[in-house]
Amino acid sequence: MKNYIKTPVIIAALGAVVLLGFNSCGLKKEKITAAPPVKVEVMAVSSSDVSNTRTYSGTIESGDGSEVSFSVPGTIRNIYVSPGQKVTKGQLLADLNSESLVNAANIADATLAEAKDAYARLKKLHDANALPDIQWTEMQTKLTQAENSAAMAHRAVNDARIYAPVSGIIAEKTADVGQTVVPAVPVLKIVALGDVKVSISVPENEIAAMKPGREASVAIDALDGETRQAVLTEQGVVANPLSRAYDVKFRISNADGTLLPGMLCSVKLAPVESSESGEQGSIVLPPQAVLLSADNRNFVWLSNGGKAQMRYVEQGGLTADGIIISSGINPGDSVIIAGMQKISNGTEIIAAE
Amino acid sequence: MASQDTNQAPKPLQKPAGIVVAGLKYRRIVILLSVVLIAFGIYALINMDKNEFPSFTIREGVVAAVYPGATPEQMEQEVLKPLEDYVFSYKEVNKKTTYSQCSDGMVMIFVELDDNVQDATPFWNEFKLGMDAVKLKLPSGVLAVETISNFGDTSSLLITMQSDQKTYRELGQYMDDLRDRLRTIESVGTMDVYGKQGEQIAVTLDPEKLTHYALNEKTLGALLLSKGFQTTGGSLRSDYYTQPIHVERSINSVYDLEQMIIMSLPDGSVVRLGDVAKVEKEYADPTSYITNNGTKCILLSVQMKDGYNIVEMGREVNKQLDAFNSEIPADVTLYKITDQPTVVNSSVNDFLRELVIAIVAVVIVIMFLLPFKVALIAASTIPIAIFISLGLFYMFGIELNTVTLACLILSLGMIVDNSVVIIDDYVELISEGMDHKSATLRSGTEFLKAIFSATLAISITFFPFLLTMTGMFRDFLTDFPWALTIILMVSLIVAELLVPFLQYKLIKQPIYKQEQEAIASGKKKFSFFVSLQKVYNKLITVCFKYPKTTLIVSVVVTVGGILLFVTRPFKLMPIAERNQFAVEIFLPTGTSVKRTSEVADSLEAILAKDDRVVSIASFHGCSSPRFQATYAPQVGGPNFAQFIVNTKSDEATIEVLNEYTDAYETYFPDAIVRFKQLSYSNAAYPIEIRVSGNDFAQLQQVSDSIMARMRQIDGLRCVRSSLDNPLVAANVVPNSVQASRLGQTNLGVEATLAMRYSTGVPVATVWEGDYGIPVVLKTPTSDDASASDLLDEPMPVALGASSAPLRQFADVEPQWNHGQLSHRNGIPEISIMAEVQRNVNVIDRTEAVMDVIDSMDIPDGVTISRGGDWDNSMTILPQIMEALAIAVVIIFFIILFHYAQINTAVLMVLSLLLCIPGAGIGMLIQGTNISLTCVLGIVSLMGILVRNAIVLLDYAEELRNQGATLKDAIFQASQRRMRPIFLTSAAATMGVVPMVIGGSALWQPMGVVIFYGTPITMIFILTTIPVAYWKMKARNKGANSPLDEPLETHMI
Repeated sequence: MKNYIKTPVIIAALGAVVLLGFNSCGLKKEKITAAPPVKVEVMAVSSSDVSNTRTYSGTIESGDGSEVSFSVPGTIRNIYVSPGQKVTKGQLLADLNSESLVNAANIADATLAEAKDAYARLKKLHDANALPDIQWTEMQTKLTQAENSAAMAHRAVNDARIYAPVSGIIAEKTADVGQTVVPAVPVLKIVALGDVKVSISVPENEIAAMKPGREASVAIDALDGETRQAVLTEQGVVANPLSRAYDVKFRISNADGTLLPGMLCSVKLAPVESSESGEQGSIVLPPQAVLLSADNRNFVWLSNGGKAQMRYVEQGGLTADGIIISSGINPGDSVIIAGMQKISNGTEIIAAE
Repeated sequence: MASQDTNQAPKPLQKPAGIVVAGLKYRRIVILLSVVLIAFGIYALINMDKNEFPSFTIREGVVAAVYPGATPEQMEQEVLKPLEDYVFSYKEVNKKTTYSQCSDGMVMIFVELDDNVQDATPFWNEFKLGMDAVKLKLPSGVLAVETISNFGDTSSLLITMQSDQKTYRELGQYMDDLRDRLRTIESVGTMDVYGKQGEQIAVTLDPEKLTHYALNEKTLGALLLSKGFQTTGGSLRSDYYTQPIHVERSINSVYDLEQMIIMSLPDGSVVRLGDVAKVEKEYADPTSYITNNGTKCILLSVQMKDGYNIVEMGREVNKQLDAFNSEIPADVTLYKITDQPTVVNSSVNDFLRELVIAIVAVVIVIMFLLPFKVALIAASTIPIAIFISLGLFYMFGIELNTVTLACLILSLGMIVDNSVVIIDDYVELISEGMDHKSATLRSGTEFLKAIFSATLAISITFFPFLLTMTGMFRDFLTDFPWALTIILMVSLIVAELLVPFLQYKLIKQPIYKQEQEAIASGKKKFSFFVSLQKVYNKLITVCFKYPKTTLIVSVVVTVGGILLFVTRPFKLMPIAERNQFAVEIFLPTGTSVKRTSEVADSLEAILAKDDRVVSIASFHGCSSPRFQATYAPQVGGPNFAQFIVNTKSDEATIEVLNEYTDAYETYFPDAIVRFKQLSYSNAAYPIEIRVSGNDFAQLQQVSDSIMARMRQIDGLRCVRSSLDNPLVAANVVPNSVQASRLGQTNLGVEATLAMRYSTGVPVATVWEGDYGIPVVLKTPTSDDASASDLLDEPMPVALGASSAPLRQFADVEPQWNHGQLSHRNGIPEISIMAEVQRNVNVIDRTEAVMDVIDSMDIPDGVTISRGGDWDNSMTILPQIMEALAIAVVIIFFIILFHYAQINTAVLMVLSLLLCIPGAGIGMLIQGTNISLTCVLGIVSLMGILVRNAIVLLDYAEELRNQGATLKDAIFQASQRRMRPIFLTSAAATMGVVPMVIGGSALWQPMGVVIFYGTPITMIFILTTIPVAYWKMKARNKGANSPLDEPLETHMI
């Protein structure tokens, strides 16, 4: 029972250890500090031209093109091209069964040869003044007639062939081999490819600005959005009854022939200085930077000497980039564009661009 | 439940010696019974339900309504009002705490039920039925009204399944397999999969082309819908047989869709869907997704059915997971983000270990202080009582959780108390020369009434908590009084039945006397108790000599202690020690998932660099399932992200939080990052100031100025308002003249824009086996568009025959809408939330905020109230106080019953205050806050005080009955009772040492109160109470005569 001696000592020691041990973790007290300055993102205000670019949906239309037809009646013997084929100017496209025309030409030739022969004979007589004038004149007329007949017969033979009047692409074939055609019935449609047209519909309130010569950039969806420049050439004068819009056409170069009629494209028109609402030197802020106060007024937070400051502004509408600010802030101001939910007037801030 | 025990005990009282006699007479049966019960207790310990905490009932549900295209104001007027009318028509709904939020196109009502609703299921069933009728009253644009009643369900396990190489679809299939496996486990309840991304077939239309073909998306949608539609095709009926007719689905693949003919012209040419639209299979741009450590994953949330052993479930799930792991490809991995079974297992094991340490500590103290044989008997009652109690817990369905375990630890001191009182008396009696048998009988009966009253007093004082507390705290405490009552009653029975037999068998010598003689004769140099007795005798002599001084000193110390106590900061529900914490990232309304993810990813990268961080599960655009009962998940949205960060250890969590919270809370300019340490407080925000009233502009003004002031208060962080930044809408204003000329109606414009600017309208489903792939109609502007796209949008004219840009007949203006509108109890409200600097007391800061607000000029019609932790605490505090008051009243009546003297009872009740100084000093030394468990500690201190006082005063009365004078009786009684009182106090103090050292935020306050409070209170019990009792009695006229009536008659 000797250890009883130590008991109080042990208990006291244990108590002391426990107390000290706990003390170290117990009495520690955290110092209450103010919240650190709020980190916010700011944007330096600069006036920029509002990109008030208008976009229209357009369709590529063929430029100058023609429908070709035979000028003589006949049965089609051959068509040498098929739709979609590229042709160059002067290329043979189709011909008619031309035997009767050749025969007629031959007859005309024979008649001409006969007339020439008679003419040669009578000339001698005439030179010798042995022929009355009236007969000579008759002979001359006959010869001219025979010559013209022959020329006409040969032309007719030629007319039984169609040559490409312009370089382009065969857009359409409307007759087939063996078909009898009469003059002026289109057989083939060729579209020229050098220049094509882009047609857009312009609402009436925007038509005033569509003056010939205005430039536009055209993005063609089918060519992966490839853009080309175009120039306004025609301005419609009659509104489409359905869409209440006017047709406006642009000329666009198609040297490589990739633009095909019917392709859809979007036409972007840069604003014209005076006529359209594109304001210059306006301030555009990201939408989230413009807030609404309790009294229903718009305001922004400015970073002013390391402190947040509230500033009322007037807004001037929505654009692709944000909200136009018509008054309240000036170029050079730093507007807070992120972290607005953490600040009040006078809150200390750290600005990051 | 335990009332049986309370009933058992009183019976023997009618013939006091009976129980002891019976115990001795049928000692074999007693021993056999003890052995059987102990064996049962061991069996119970292994098999009983274990949980970290008692199951909380979260009485909360959510009603959500979706109305695309409506502004928050419209939502408030058109949808929220009728819904609120309906919600508030139920009496079960707690109006005060039910609140709602309106944001763009969305309404959410967080319906809280009254705390007295025990089973919410019937309510929700009725509620959902009634909701069908309400839906009809809502605007036709309201797409869905959903009632989510399982909002409070807590996941036991969150398992992520991640892979770099597998698609979501493949992961989904593996997940289905896993679910099928887990479903075979009986204890597994609801399982939900989160983060799944579905494939879709996107038909991206080009509106221009459609116009070209004179088509519009409406007709196309209808066409697709009709092709994907399937219905019964009738049947071929004959007399003998009926054959159903099936029509083959015509769309089975992307190719089918592309080739689908949408228009055929008279000349035989056709237009196929592929001509006007791009058809491709894709994963839609996710509105929300989950990653684990940066790898895409899907998440399985597993809940446990009620009434099962979670540790057991965890084991079975692990078995299935192991089997599953061996079958899935190596690049698919599983990871458990939260694992309640393991947490529970380790926390229960920790607590069991603490219990064992506590038992050992108590036994050592007893061994040190008492002669060996006495110590042996006293110590042996501890395991016996505990095992028998565990057996009874099991029988009564009380589960083993930290609350019941804390109860066991708390009661250790009290368990030995009963035995010690009896053995001590026995040894004294035989010292006085009584024979063993009579001494045994007398020791059993002499204090029976006293220890019964005392035990009853301690047990019963905790029951008022069940009466007054509501909600989560009540759930938390439900088992506590029952468990304590069982343990104490068991220890009483053990002390009465088993101890007499043991002492009779083992102690034959008058040990104390021998010891004193040994010292007197110089054989033994020192005995702790002999010395202690000497010191005490001197002390009590002095006290009796200067009674007034003693009392004055006591009063002064008590008042000082009370002051000390009440100035301690409040923190009723502490943080939860976990090796994980949550991070919530809020960006302004309108922020895209992409930007939110950028912030989340950069924060994740920063956190991932830390060695202490083990894993980060990141929820982009959504919130995690409820993985801890008190952590209510936030409402997700594209502007919200959440992490569950797992760390190496509980300590690492605290270190990481301490380091990162200040540095990254406002690191991202556009984001507020909340590092949320898990806690037992169910307040969503630590500080919440609610500004409510009917004039919204006024509310906004007031809340703005309050916010500005709050931002200047030290210790507050991230002050923000529920209003959020306004959301700038693009408001399309049709010009009526132009629009009507073009045949445009508002409905048509809305429908067209909805189709073209929404993420896709589902029109059909293509089935690949059991995998349904929705076909959605989109346009190029579905995922990426600006205001100028909207202006240029070609609107179909004359059913698509032609088109006109939107700007031809409408203007697009910016329109500012409030980001979020809130209602509480049906009244508009703006709440201002703030975080609090780490390790700074929230209640204290809330008071600071209120001081500032009080100094402001708040206009009439605007009401300011506090939410957050303060509200939480202040709802609970009166309940705790009420419980305390009732406990005091009960103690009063027990004492009154016991002594039949009002003044004694009043004295005892007053002396209850003597507990406070000890508790206060302890809390000051440890820097502990006033918490719920700390109050529990004080209540048990009160119990210990009353118990010791009763034993002491009873003995004094006994002595007076034997003819001693008042002063002598009290004086002698004090001297005699000093030893057992010291002993039990020492035992109680040592019992809680592991609790104090363990540093559990939840239980440490209780440990501290008892550790410091018991010894200090003991000094008061041994000095102040005898003196006060003496003085009080001396003032009565019959002071010097023995009590008029025998004690027993008061009892019944």
